[in-house]
Amino acid sequence: MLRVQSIEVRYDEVPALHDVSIDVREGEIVAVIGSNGAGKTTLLRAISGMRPPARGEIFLDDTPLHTLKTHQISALGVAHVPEGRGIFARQSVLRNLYLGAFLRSDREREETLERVFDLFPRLAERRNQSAGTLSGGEQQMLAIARGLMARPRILMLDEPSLGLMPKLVDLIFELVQRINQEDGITILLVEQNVRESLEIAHRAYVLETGRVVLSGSGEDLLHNEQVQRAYLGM
Amino acid sequence: MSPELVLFLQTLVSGILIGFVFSLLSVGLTLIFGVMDIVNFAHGEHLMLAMYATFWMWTLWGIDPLFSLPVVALLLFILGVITYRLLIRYVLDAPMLAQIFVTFGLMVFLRNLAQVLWSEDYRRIGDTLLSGRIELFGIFIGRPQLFASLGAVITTGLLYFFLKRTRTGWALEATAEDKEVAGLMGINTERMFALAWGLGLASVGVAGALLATFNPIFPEVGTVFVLVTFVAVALGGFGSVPGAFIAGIIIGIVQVLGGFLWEPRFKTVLIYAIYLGVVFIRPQGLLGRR
Repeated sequence: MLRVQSIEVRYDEVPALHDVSIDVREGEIVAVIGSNGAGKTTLLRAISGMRPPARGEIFLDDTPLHTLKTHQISALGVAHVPEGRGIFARQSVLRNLYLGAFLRSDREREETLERVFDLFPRLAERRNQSAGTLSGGEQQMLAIARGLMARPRILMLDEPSLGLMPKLVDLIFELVQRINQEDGITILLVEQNVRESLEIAHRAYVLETGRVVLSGSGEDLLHNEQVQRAYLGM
Repeated sequence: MSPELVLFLQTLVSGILIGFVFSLLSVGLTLIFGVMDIVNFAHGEHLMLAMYATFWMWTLWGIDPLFSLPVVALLLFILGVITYRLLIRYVLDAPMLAQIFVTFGLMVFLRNLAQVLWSEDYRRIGDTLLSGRIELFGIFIGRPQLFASLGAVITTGLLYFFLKRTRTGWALEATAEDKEVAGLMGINTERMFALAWGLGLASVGVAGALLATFNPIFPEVGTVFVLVTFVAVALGGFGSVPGAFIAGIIIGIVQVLGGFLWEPRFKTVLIYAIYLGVVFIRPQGLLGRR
């Protein structure tokens, strides 16, 4: 469904991604793992048009994304939950969710809202609270929930477990899996939390200094010696 | 009532009335700044253009300011969008100095253009539907002033309603808070920038049409109003619409009371003293965020 074909992305003329290609099929959870600065965030930013690639192509089905602007890519069904959550701290929780459904009709919005509150009951309790006053875990849930409000075809998550305590990390991964299984939403997950990501991912890519160095099923990579040594401390 | 008290109340009322107009002017400026972090230094010149537009419609075609007001507002809205499309768009990611020079240059250009086109003469709009004054409890209120403050309050209220209650208003506020994430929500942020300029200048358009009914009109008229506007925006907190509204009223009152209680020629000194106080004590302004 999503095809990234040998893209190169540069920051101030310094390449951050070289010749990166990945594939995401309908209904999958695909994880991109790697350490800090490997280019994981850059990859998502390239897909959502925040940092268009200098070379290479990106397709959603047969529609080229690399020539479109961020809001147009969003309208095609690509939801990007950015690094650091990017919630609107000055607005209420509900307003944040409504903004997620900006391109949806009022009816669709209310329908999706019901499902989102079902997945994230904490947000329902805090709907009128200003988003900036939420805890870190709640803010992460809000960011994911806001992504869902767009009713995306593919949900891209940038390190959703970052900075959360272990119990919440488990909860987030569980929710990601539920969203994939119950709502049939394709997921592209970028993570440093390698073990848990590989456990829920159908397939995964390992990114190192801007290049894809390894790919395979989540299961295979979990038992790959190289991955175990570099990322799982075994 | 003693004559002193009447005079005091008279002054206070006129301060509040002009304060509402300052509020509208400040809201226009703070809206543009809030959404895109660019200060429109040509704000006063846009006001001047609105006043001239009102003046010429009255002089050439005999259209009363009461009726030309919406036309002027629309003209200024269009001018705002054009200014964004032709000028501001190109300095969005430029260094702040470049952004300052662009609107500062626009200010110089518009002022000189007005001098060439319409000369340095002071113009006035004569009797309009709004001329005259009313008396309330021994206090005289000019009808143009009264209408100006009413119009300013209504316009500010409409803008606030638009920002808080409509989908597009939410998108505008989201863009103001985080442009990149707003784009991820499917909001066309460039259109929001253009809209901010349109609305910012439309506010100035309304203020200009209202002020033209009781103020002389000349190429430098913008400076008379724009300096207090900048102080009001800083006092209210850069980017805060309610802050700008409250600050505008405060400044209107301080200006006339300063002149009344102290000395007329010191009235602007007081305003700048407030500005200094804000900078030293609460740099983020009354309702601003750090």
